Amino acid sequence: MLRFKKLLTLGSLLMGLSCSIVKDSDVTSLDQLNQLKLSGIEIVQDLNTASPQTYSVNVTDSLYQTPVSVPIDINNKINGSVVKQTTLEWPVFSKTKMIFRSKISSGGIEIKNYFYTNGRPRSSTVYQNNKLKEWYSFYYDINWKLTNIRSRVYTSIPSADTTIYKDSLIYNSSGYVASLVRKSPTTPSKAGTLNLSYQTYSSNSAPALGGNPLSYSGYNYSYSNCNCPNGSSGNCFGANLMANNGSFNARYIISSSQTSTIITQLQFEDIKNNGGNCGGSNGSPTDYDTYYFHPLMLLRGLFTHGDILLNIYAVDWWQPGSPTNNNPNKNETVTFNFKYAR
Amino acid sequence: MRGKAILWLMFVLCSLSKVEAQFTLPRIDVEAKISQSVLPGGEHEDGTLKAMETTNIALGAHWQVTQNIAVGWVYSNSLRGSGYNSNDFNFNFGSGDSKAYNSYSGFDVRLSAGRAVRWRPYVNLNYGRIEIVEDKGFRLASKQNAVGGGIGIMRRYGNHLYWNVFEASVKSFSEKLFWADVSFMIEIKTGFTYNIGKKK
Repeated sequence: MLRFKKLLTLGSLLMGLSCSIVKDSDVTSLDQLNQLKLSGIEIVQDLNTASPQTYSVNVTDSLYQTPVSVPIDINNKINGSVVKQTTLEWPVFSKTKMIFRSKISSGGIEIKNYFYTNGRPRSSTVYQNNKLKEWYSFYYDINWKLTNIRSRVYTSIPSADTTIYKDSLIYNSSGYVASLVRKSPTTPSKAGTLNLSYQTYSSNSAPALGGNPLSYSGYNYSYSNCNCPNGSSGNCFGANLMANNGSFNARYIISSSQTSTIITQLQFEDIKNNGGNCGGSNGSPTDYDTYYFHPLMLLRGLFTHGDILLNIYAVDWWQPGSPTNNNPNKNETVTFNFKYAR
Repeated sequence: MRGKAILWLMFVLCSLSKVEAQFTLPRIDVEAKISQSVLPGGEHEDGTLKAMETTNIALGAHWQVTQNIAVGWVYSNSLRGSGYNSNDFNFNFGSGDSKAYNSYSGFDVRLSAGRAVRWRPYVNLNYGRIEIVEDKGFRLASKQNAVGGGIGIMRRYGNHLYWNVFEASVKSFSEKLFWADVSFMIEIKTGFTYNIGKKK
């Protein structure tokens, strides 16, 4: 009788201990994961002249009471509904490597992103003090494959000092962007066709940019992961940039952490003092690069092969520093830490 | 449900029986172990979970049906753990980029050499419910069934205490995690088992 009571007591104790570690607020399905809302961004800039500085981006969501019907395609034949706007209050940096193509700085900067019902981005806009400064639009086909990106940058007065790029994305049979056809009514010298090559870097990895360098606007972009740290696997990728006249070279790597469409971290590193496994010399003697804001930095996870798209658009956001005789001894980094809520 | 009730009724009747000597009243043992688990993921595209590892405390209680067969319940919960997404695992415990936890609760059957031998090898089979959580700032969680088995050896100290010197086990999940290519778990354990009851 005594042993039976002991067994019952022990059994009850163990079953009582069998409590769940899963909380009600946990994400328990892919649908729930993809519906997480961006609640904030922490931007950490580690520059050569200071200790790392952390800045917060406040994010607010607005759901439209009445969805706005707009064409999703470049030919205005397929309709979709824009249902959400996300507003990001850009911080004021004391010193920054991340700047804007419209040459805005200091306060009053907001980034507004607009989304369709299925979460795909419609457009991304940059405002300063409620004046539109940059506008990026995304166009899709009937299967929601991204087909066109249109960029408008208003440097000073709209319709004057405006840069417009009209990009068409051409895909190969494996679903990767094989070429980008760029037209520019404002800047004909920037028009052209960018042809992209792919390779696999390990036996079980997906194709990534590589092979032949991309030539565009007087530069050669050699994409690879050879500047990435050992053990970073598929989470790191980058490029070497050389001017056609060989006067300088610059390097970057992008490291990221992503689950499904949710990116938790994106880091841009300006390689100067370590050459990775690429061989050859470091990025020096070259001044530090700057990076222009591009919406793909925030929206990369929402596009198929968005990581590849972000690297392709380095042709726009990557600004190599001017050659100097200094030898930089530290890599600068800009890190986005994305916060989410249900 | 009805089958369970009948089994429990038989167990209660046997336990309350005053028949002596011809058969032995059931003995029970309790166990406490520390386990280290690894949940291997896959080497896939950018950011997919490569591995999880956790350190758990595992408790159990078994009714020794015979000297060689015991049935009971086991439970384990994580003390700590790491997930590896950006970083490769390479057995660098504690160097992940996220936090990971798991919990298991289930029915266990142990087959072993008799209680008297000094070195007592055993195998176990278990079936129960596993919960896995990865905390990346937001928590990803999965609850599912798991079936497992293990092999181990324990060393007897006196009439009651056993040192579970080493146990290796595997648990297979009923489905992969929805966010990662993880479908099984490998564990190694060490700990103690204690017989409760009269000296035989």
